[in-house]
Amino acid sequence: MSVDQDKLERLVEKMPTFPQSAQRVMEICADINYSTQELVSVIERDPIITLKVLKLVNSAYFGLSKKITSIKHSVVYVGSNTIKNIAIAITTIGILPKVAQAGVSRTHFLTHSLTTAVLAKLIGRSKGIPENELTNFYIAGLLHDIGVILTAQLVKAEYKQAIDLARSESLPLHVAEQSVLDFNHAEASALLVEKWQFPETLVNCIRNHHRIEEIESPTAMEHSVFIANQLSKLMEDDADRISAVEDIPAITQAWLGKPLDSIIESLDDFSEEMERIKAFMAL
Amino acid sequence: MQITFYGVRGSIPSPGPDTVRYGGNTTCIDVMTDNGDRIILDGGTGIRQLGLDMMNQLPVQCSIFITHTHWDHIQGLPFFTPLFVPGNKVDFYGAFDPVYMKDLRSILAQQMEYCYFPIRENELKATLSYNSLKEGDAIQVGSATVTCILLNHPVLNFGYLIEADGKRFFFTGDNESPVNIYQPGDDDFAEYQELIEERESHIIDFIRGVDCIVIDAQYTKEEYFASKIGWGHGYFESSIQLAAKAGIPQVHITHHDPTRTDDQLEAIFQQLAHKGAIPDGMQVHPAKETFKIQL
Repeated sequence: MSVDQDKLERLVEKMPTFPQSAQRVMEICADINYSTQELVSVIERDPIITLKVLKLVNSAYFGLSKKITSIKHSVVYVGSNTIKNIAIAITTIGILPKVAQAGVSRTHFLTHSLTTAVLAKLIGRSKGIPENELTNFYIAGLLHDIGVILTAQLVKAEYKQAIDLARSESLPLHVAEQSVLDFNHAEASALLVEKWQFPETLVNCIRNHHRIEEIESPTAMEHSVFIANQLSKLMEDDADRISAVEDIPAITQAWLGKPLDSIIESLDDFSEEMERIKAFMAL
Repeated sequence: MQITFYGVRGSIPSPGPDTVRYGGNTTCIDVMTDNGDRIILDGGTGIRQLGLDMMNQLPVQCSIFITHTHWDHIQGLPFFTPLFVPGNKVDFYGAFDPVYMKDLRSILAQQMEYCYFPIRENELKATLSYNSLKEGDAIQVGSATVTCILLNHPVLNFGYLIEADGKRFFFTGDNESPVNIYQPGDDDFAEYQELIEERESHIIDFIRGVDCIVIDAQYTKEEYFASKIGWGHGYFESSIQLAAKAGIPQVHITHHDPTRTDDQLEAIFQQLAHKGAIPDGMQVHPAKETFKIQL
C-alpha cells in the first residue's frame, strides 16, 4: 500500500492555511519599534488568537478584577507590551493541529514539536546565528513533523501499522513509514509548508530532516533541526517514543563541534522555556 | 502615618554632584503607621539605607509591597540587611508574572543566583514569606490595609493604596496613562477612547480623595511626545491632571529621570507653577530622598 500522491495533495489543499496572523505576530514581536495599532489589528483578525489572549488575560494568572472583553480592552488594561509577549507564545503554539490520529497522541506530538522548536532555536543561537533568523529555526522545528498528522489522517489503518513497526523494531518512524507506505512524513510536512508559502530554506529544511547525509552542504537550520529532533526524542520516556533516535551524521557532528550530551547542559534557557510553554499549552 | 522617601530616581541609580539634593537611589518608600506597623513600597537601591536604619531596633518585622519587578524596583533587596538576620520577619507581596509564568519568589530569587550575587535566596536567615496578589486584594498589615490596583506599564504594575489611622495614601509605582493608538477620524478611535476613559475613571474612583499621592512622572511633556510614548511613564502635566481629577491635595512626583539634574528638576517645577499647570489648592513637590510626609 502506498500513499496516493494526488490524494495527499488534495488533503494538503484541505488543510487550514497557515494563519498569516501568526507569521505577522512573530514579525511584529521581533521589532522593537512595532506598532501597537498593527498588533491589535493582527490579533483581532484571528479569532483563535483573540480567544486565547482573552482566556489568559481573564485567568487567575493575571488575577484582574474586571472581565476583559476585547483585544483593545486588554491593551488598555494590561498594556501592549504584555499582550505582545503573550501573543507570541500563544501564536507559535496555536499553529499545531490539535487532533490525535492513528496512535499519535496529541500531548506527545505537541511536546515533541515544541521541544524540537525550542532546541533548534537554542542550538542555532549557540552557533551564533542572528536572532532574526532564529524565528525560522523555531518554526522549522515546530512544523517538521506536521506531516505525521497529515499522513495519519489520510491512511489511518496503515499509519497505525507503520507506528507499530517503528515501535516493535526500534526504527525511526520515517523508515517504518517508507516500508509500509512507500512514503514518509517529511515530504508531507514539506508539501504543507510549501502551500503555506514559507521561505524555501525552511521548506527544504523540513523536507530534508531525515536525509541530511544525502545533501551536499546542509544549512545551519538543517543541522540544528536534525540535532534538535534527535535530542527531543532522547528526552522522551522509552514507553512514549514512537520513533527511534537516529545517529548524528559526521557532517552534522562536525558542524556542531561538541558532543551531543553537552548540548543540553549548555542550553541554560531550555528548562525555563519548556516550563513556560507547558503553561501556555494548557490554554 | 509617616512616609519617608529612600529612593526617588527612575530606571537606574544616578549618584553624583548634580543629583545630590534630590537623591540618586532608585525607588523605595517607607510607610510607618502610628502603631509602628511598617510597610515598604519597592526595593530599589534606596532600601539599603532603610535596612541599615531599621537594624537599630531588632527584631525587624515588615511587609514589602513590590509594584513591579523591573530592576530599579528590586535591585536593592540583596543589600537589605534585615534579610540576613535570624529572628526578623519579612513578608513580600506582588504580582505573579503571567508572561513567563513565574511567581514573586522565583523572580526575586533569580537576581540572587550564583552568577549575580554571592548569597543565594535560600541562605537568607530572616523568616520570609512571598504572596502573589490579585488585583483588588486587600492585605491587613497590623493597623493598615493595603489594596492594589493594576496600572499601566510594560509589565504588570500594581499601585498600592494604604489606609491607616484615618488617612489614605497612594503610590502608583510606574504608570503611564494609556494614549489612544488610533488617530481622530479612524474607525476605532472612539471605541478605544471610551475604553481609556472607562479605565481612567476606574482608577480615579479607586484613589479619589486620598490625602497624599506619590506618582510617577519621569518626563516633561515635550520629552514624552517626542519619543517616550509607550515607555510606561507619565509626564508632569499628565500626572498632575490625574491627581487633580481624583481631588488629591498633596502630590509628590517621583521616578525622576536619571539624566535629570537637581537644577533642571527645580526649574521644571518653577515653570509648571509659572504656566498655571498646578491647580489651586494642590501642593505639588518633586519627591526628595530622606523627605518625610506626616499624614
